[in-house]
Amino acid sequence: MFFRNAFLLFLLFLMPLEGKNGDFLPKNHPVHRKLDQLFAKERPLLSLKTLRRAGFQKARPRKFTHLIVTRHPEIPGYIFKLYLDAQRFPHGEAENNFWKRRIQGAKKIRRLIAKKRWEKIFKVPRKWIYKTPTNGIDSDYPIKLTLLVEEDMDLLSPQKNQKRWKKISPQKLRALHTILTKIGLRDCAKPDNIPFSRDGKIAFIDTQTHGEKSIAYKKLLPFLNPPMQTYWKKLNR
Amino acid sequence: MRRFFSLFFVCIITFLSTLEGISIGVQVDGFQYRTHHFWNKHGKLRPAHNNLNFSGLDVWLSTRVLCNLQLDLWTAWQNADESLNGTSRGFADPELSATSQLTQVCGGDLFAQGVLVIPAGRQREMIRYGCWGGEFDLLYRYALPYCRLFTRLGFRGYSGKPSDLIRGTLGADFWPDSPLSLCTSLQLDYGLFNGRRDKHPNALLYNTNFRLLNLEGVLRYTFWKGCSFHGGGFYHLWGENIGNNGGFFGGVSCVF
Repeated sequence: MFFRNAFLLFLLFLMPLEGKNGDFLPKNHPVHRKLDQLFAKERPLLSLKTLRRAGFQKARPRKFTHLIVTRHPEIPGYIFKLYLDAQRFPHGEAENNFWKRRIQGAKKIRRLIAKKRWEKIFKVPRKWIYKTPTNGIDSDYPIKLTLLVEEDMDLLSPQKNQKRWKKISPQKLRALHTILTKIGLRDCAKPDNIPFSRDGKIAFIDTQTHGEKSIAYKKLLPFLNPPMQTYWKKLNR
Repeated sequence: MRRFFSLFFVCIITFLSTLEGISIGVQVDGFQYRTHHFWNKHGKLRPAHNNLNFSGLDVWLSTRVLCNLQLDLWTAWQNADESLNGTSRGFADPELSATSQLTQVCGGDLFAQGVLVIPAGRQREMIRYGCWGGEFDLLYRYALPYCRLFTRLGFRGYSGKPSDLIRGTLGADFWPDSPLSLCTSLQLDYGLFNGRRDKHPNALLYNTNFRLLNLEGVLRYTFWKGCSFHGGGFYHLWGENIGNNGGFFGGVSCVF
């Protein structure tokens, strides 16, 4: 028991060396303090039951990635992406690697938006890795040492989002095309991954796959009106 | 390429069946196994926090190529549906075995069996190890009135991650020559725990290091010469690094 805990503490100590310090949620951040409180009582990451008992809402694994995206009523304005201890490691990799990819993708998009001065059209959530406390860990399960904290983008409902995409302007489409191509966001040309938020901006919420050469532009076509479909096809030639 | 090995062996057996005086047997089984608990590495029962529904189709082909040599091929298509990890499906690693009678001991028959485990593809969790393996068994069968006792002792080794296994079976086949027969057996897979440590200690199936004591019962009804229906169940009595609970299976077998 002692060696296991010592080893986990050692891993936690090493973690900041693996990623940039800015990738981790600062200890003085209010979300960090609140999560520490939640993890102090019981380990919420053990199972769906413990996660719900800790107050996380609508927690269930997604269809393909089995990722759990959840919110907590006491931490408004943020969402949490996580894997449970009872789950297998996604694609056999430590979950930490997936969080880093998402953070890197978000940073690249944010830099390009700032460079092009498209802040009024697009936004991307800030993301941080939260290192979970080691109390309550159980070596009978593949322990997940981190979860991802993201700013909530206050998105429109899927139905309203699809309606908004029918009304998109050619200027916005052109700007979107530039971001998708330059960052290589393979899987972002669909409203589910670039939904509209209530403030009218398009939010990039899936930033994991970036730096890719082939972009699935065609996925956006069914959600555009006929003139914009023609324009989108023209941009992709 | 590897996944076509099974098809290749099916072709061989089909070809052999066309030769005069050679019989071929086919058995097809559907099975289902459910659990939401597992035994950890110390044999303590733990909640998986994950419901597994494991089902599939087993196929056995067998042929007697010489008067003293029987070839068997087993393959299975499996579907593992987990509440937390989604669905995995695919072919299990097929197993080709050759069995030959060695001699008669104390009024019973002693057989030797060699098994070759052929990888059906890359490792897929909950479905297969995806590596080569070999097994050697000694089987002993003793006939009593209305009953046939059988036992097996063997050793299985794998290349790569999985642990080697000592395998044993103790069973009895009641009224084997009547239309309705009952077969019960106790099977032990005793892992030597020399495999690479599994990344997922709560794996309910195909953990690289596992031990299992399984009780199985099958009721068989022969409805026509050489053809029978069968159905049964199994229950995991004890284990380490494996799911508990049990399941059932049923199917049909024919000898041509």
